[in-house]
Amino acid sequence: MQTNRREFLRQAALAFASSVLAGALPRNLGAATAEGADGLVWHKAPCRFCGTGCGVMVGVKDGRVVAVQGDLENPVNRGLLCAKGYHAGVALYGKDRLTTPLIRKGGKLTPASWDEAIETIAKEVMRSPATFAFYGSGQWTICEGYVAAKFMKAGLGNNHVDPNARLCMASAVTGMNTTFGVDEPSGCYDDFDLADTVILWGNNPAEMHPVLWSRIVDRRGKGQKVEVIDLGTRRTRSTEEADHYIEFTPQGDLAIANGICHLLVKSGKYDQDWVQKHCNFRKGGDTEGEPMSFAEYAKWLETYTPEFVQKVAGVRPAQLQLLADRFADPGRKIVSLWCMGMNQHTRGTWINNLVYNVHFLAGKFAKPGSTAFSLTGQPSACGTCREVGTFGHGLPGGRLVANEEHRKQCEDLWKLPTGRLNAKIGHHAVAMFDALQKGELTGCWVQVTNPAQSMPNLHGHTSKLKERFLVVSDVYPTVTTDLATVVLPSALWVEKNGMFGNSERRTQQWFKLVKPPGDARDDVWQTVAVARKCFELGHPGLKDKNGDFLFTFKDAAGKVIELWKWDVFQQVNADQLLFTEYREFTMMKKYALAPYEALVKSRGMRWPVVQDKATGAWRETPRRFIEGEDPFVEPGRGVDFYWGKLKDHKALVWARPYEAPPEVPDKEYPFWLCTGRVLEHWHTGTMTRRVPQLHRAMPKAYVELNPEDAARLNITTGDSVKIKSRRGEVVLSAWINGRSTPARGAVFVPFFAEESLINRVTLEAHCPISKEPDYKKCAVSIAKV
Amino acid sequence: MGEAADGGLPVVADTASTRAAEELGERLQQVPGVKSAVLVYHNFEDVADEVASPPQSFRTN
Ligand code: SF4
Repeated sequence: MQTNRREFLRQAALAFASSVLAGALPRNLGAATAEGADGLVWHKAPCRFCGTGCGVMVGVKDGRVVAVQGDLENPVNRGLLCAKGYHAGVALYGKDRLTTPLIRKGGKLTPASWDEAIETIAKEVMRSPATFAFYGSGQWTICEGYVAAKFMKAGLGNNHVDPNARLCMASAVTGMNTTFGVDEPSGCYDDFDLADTVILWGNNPAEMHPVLWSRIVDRRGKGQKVEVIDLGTRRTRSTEEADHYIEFTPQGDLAIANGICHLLVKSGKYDQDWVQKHCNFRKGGDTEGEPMSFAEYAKWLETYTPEFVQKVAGVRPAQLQLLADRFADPGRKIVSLWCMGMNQHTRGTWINNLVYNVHFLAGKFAKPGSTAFSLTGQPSACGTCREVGTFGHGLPGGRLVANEEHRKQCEDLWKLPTGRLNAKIGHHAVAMFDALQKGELTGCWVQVTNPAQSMPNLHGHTSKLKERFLVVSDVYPTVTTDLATVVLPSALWVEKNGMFGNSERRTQQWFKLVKPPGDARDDVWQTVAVARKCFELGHPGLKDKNGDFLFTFKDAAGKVIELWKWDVFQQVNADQLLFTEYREFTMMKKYALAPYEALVKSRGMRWPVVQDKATGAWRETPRRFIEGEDPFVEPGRGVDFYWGKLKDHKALVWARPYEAPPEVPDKEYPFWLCTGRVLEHWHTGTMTRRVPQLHRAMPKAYVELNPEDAARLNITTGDSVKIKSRRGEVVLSAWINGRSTPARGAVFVPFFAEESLINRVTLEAHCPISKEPDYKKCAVSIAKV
Repeated sequence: MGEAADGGLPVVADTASTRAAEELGERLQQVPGVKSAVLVYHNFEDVADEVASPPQSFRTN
């Protein structure tokens, strides 16, 4: 690089860093596409990785992504990114990118043409459309999820489509649906800036949502007081910043939440007015339950004395009282945060309900600075899986397969003959892999995920995959592509147009900025091309009621846009066409997404988005259910749960009991095992392990032990340790007093490493309502080897 | 280095390799009085070959 340019870039970097520190907006960083003074063209995009949804400015030069900076204009992150975000651009350029379709021939994956690959897949789908499944992801862009759902549900008349989001936030969905009748959080990130107390329920945002975590703890640097209470089973980087660490026994969270409610009710220090206006009470373990009175609820809570909570959760009475005191303090604003710790739980739905209970009784909900918020793991679990409805039971816009009226609405919008949509719910993720294992499903198309690494109890769910017709669309080889019949090379992140919806209901759009490598192509195109081939081969489901192909779009002159042809696809903005079609579905449940054009111009908008009649401007909704913010609230109500189950504008407080987990440590398997992510790696490491900086920072998985357990077992850092459960075993090196410290009797293992698959050990037990597996607790033995 | 703003100090590291930049970042974290060092701008146009990494050793197939 020339000296002048080097110096110039130094100055540009310095200016940018200074503006981040000053919180100022730099002059030349719009969504502009003009070449900047640094010779780079900068564009906006949401980060590829977590559900925070940080805005990234992507610098492009000579057809390559060469620089990344945080987007100062994006209100999510205001210029900051974490280590993963800064390396999102590097993740495109690993040397082993998949660049050509591969078909297994004579046992070996062999390069093939796209025509051959698409035809091979379509013929297999045609052979047995009812036993073919689609397994997607919370990293699907909105339109990728939409075309897959439409292909399966409208096209094949088969609801066996489910995303990996089932494994990460299905309990949050069922929690919200059972509590206030509609999915996705009421609050938003702005509440994190206002809270006096932030309570982490089995959550480690310092590593998993680092930018949101900075948003909270950086307030202290500005002289603001923010108390952090960390409820956990493991001391983490988040604990380092906490004012109080309250350790509990796995599954004890159910008792803690009920115990807080008990203390609030018993002392009379709950918000009677709020409860009376906005809550009904319900008992029972399922989604329906039965009504109960407040007096009955108060009586039911009497089991959850501080002594009982101490017995099952290991939390001291003074600690429980501290939590209750915070909620009883009328002026205090409280935000509860959780993610996988509560959602990957055999009673995931219940614990979600119970944390809402605490906030409702305290009247600390639907108020600026007070909310209960399930953080999302993946960048578009909300935007794609939950909103598009890519679940076995879902239809677009929050509709349900089992609801006749919903099916009818979708048939009308998709112009399908009446009765085309199948009323039978499709398999959820674990059941899908069970059915593949048994051969009840004969084929599956996997996009943007790596189930041969991420499913629980791997051997029980993936050992037969190689015998099925497995299609895998991905960007790098994985343990799942190793099992595939057909591998399709995909475009990654800014190599395609896309949209993600983050944790706070913010839909963010980006444009394709660089070409995918070799012959890699967009997943949207791949699905449309296979659908078209099925149409040509005569599958009746791929026709609408006029006989037209399901993915028919016309140009201004009325000519059909042949999206299934790659040449054509590259010339048009398929995202705009598909999103505009999909957006119609979002009106019914008051999801009300913004139009594509408004998203192009913004740094994302939080739905519901409505148009101001006078000015024509589109207005987002920071907080739902609050009068003055949410346009769907009935005037005069103040707070309106307009999708409340009983249709009386109220939410439900559920009496959900403590229940022991299905597998607990015993003599043979005396330790709890918890699994999860680490700061440097995204999920199964497919992308982040190709980034040299991230790989060097965290090259291999490990097992964390409590120092007392390690001393007793004579294990020191670096020793090889065998972790064994009833399902499988893995050997890892020990890390003691490292980044985190599990409670005594517990160990932690990250799941990013394909050479040491911890999911051979985990348990597939799942929440019976959400069907989300519990990756956070099973019983294992530990032995030095 | 730039001027301090709000207790923060912008630092520009121009290094021959990404590894050197990482090491510098780690060293900065260790400097007494430094609470945290975060990356805010990452330009890697000059290290294209380096970032186009070979398949990592974890791939066994
Ligand atoms: S916090 Fe999440 S969205 Fe933000 S930069 Fe990091 S990985 Fe990306």
